[in-house]
Amino acid sequence: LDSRGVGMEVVQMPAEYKFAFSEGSTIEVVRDPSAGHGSTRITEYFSPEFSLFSSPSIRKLIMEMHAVFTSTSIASKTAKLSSTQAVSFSRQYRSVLQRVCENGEETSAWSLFETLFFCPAQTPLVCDLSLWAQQSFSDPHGWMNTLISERSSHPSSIDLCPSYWKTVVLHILSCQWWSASSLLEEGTPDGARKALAQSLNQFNFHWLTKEETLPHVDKWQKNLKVEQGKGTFSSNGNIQQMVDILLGKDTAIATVSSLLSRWWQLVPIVVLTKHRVINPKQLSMIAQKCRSLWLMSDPVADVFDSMFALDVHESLSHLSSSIWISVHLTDLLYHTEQDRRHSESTLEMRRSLLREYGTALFAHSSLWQLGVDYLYNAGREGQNDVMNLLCCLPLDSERTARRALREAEMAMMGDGVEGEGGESNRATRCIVTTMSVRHLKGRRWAPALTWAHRDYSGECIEEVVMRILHSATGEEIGQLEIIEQFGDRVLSSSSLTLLFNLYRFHRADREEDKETALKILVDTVTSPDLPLVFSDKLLNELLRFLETEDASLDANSIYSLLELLKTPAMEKVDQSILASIRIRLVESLSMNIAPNRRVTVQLR
Amino acid sequence: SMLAAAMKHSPQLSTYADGDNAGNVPSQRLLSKATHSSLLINNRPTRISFLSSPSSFLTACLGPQPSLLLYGPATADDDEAFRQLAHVNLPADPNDMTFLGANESCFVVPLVDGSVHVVMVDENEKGIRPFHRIVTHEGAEATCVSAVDSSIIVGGSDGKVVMIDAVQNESRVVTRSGAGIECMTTLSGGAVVATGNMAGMINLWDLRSPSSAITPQFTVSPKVFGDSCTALAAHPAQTNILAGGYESGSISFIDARGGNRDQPPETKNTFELASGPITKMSFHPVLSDNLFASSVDGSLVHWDAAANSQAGLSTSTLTRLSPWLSSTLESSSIFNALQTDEYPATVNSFSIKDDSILIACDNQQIRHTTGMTLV
Repeated sequence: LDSRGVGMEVVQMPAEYKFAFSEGSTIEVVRDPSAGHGSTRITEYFSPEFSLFSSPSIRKLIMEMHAVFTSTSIASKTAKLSSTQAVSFSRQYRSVLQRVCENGEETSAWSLFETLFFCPAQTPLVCDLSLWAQQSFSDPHGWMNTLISERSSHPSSIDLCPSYWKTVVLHILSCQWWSASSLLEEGTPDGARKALAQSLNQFNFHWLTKEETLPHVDKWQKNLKVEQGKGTFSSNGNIQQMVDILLGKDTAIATVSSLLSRWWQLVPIVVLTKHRVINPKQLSMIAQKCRSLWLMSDPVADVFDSMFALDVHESLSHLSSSIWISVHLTDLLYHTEQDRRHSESTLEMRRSLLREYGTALFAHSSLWQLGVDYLYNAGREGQNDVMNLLCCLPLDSERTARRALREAEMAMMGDGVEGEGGESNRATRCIVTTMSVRHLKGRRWAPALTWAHRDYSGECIEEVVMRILHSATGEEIGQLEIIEQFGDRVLSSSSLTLLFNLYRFHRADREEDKETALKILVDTVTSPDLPLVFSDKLLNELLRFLETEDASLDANSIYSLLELLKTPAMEKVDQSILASIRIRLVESLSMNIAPNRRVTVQLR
Repeated sequence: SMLAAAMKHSPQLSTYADGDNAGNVPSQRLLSKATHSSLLINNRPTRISFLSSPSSFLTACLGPQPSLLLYGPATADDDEAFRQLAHVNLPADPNDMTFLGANESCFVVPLVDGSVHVVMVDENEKGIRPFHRIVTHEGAEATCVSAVDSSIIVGGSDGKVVMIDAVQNESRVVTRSGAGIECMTTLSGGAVVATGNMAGMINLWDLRSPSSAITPQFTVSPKVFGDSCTALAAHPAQTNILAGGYESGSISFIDARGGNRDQPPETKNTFELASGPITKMSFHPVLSDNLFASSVDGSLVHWDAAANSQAGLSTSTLTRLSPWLSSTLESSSIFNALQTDEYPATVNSFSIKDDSILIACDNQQIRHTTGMTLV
């Protein structure tokens, strides 16, 4: 808070200060000096993460990804995941992402990661990359929509629409050649357009699926080149440019590269047109080439650089700005990795990401239970995190407290520690104490006792009982029926036994059974286990009872009381009370001995 | 410990009660002709209720923005089976929800801030509006509610039970103290209210006695003290039968015997049904040999005791013993698991109407199953 040092001469409270309130928020206090005393403005700022987690669509994303996460952990309990399983889970994650983020950069990154690192290498790389482009590049869709809306003003000649050529080129660059060809065939195409459309129709993407059939693409390109030489496309400059792209000419690709939003979107077309037979290690070189073709300079190394360089861990660290992508991707990778050496570093990364994500979820009150699942997967440190975070969790309702208690108790069971009559872990004690104290403050004695009972170590009950004994009125104690249910536990501590006896006393008193009430009171007062701190209170009660009520004591009780009054412990009690009690006792005694003769006692 | 004991299931029930194995048990006859759909909503639903038409429902949801959401049938261009028609924001998390008496267009919702909100649903079930707000439990939570005729009975986390006469707009405290009340239901045509509390005790209160009586008419102690009673269900036809669900996942059937003081209530049958606290229990409103129970462990069990009805007939007594109270209950019942996911999310509540069931899950999913085959 403020930085007052001891011993400073002039001490002035800063006009403005801030303190962190919780993981999710900061509170700023600004004192308005001009408005005189006590005028402060308090503002609570929430961290960006907190407000992000409050958005309903992000929360849905978090919940759905959590569902896939748990399926993954169940599936990988016995053995690492196979490629098929990994791809299946990866696709589930991707479909969840797509629903929220649409087809943004994040989905493309995940998609490429899946292609390069999860998919078994059954098809040539060129096939995988083309597929990746076709499925995850969203730019062509956007332009297509624009084109469709423009089309209404140029119904007959589509090529007059301003975005027409751009749309066709984009489809070609994204390997979506069948769409490109149908666009070319739209309306009344001229010779060049028709010829290119025809050429595109002759291309069969199945050629890419096997190494053996790749030469068909070479043949196709050769035919295209021959046609170009014949001048088939020369009537239309745009067509010429597209043919150059299809033939893999760098200059042509570079010229149109500005239509794509990111440099890495050039990789598939470059591989498809010029570098079909490559091994994965050469990808990095091609990526560099694409960067140079990309006319807009983009110097920052990003996740795609690392992915094309086949550096898994580097890629994952680039993705760490989107915590829910990196954590799930790393987790999935860990469950798939067969190579032990590699998986050691993945494990490290996975652990720290799980802890970071789990902790972030705890900051948000409705997502903390998901956070528990993530943290449990992060080894010993994760479990410790859960314990610590449960202690700090804001218990805003009984429901939250009970669910948190359940998690704490289940954690304890997982450790194989017995609950009843033994240990309670720290989180259990913390939650139980918080709730009992809350109820104690509101003078709700029975709820406080019920909560305190949940702490099997017995510390909490002890504190609660002492507080009740000090603060509750007799009437309130008499209503604590719940203590009857404690059974043998009332004998476990002297204060609990005292409370139980007081309850019985007040209850009997209320029910007008004065004889029983007095008996109980006497037994309680004379009990050797009575905590001495309550002697005063009880003796007062006894005196009141003797003075106001008509009940009589039997001889045994009188003698026990007289004996008690002689004990050294009684020296600490208010002596006038003791004297008054003695008088009453002696009177009672005389009544016992000679019931018909009234005897008055005089104090010496 | 209580929980350790609860982790062990009775052999009969373990095949489906354990969430991991749930997928292996087919719910044969029950769901053979059923259709399912599910809906992902923006909030965590804690209570749900069909409205008078089976294609509309109201759900009470928890924060960040606690609210009541009204859903109606979907139109042709909706992807999902229901569409959200209206919502009302609440100032605090809702704990329970019930409709007022037989009037299905008026709902009562007790909240965490100790107040009770009454809302009205429009006649054509397209809108909701707040109607009234009453503070019943100052400084504590209003945890559960039950409605009889024109009276609303509210229980709180301070152990207090308050009765509100909606017509006269006056309230009286039925009981002042005790352990926090978790659930409540009415028996015997509205004269007796059963409350379950955090200590596991079920108390029966006679509403006709004057408010100075602070002791319950009867108390049913739990098997394990501290095993909270988290759900109660009253048999729709036989007014002495009460089913109680506990935090350990066990359930009991109690013969409450109405106002007969010579025969205190008896717990007749107890079973361990789930591995987590029971969140809601309900007999089918018409076919009362069917019981449904949901739990925090994600299970939703349908219990068919119809086969046991025959076993209850006795030539020596003239009264027909309810299957729920007979000693052969477990061996002759059929259990069906309605949630067959590998890793089901906590079921917070459900609502049954005719042959349909709506399930509110903690992961913001609402599931709808219709066409159940019930006897």
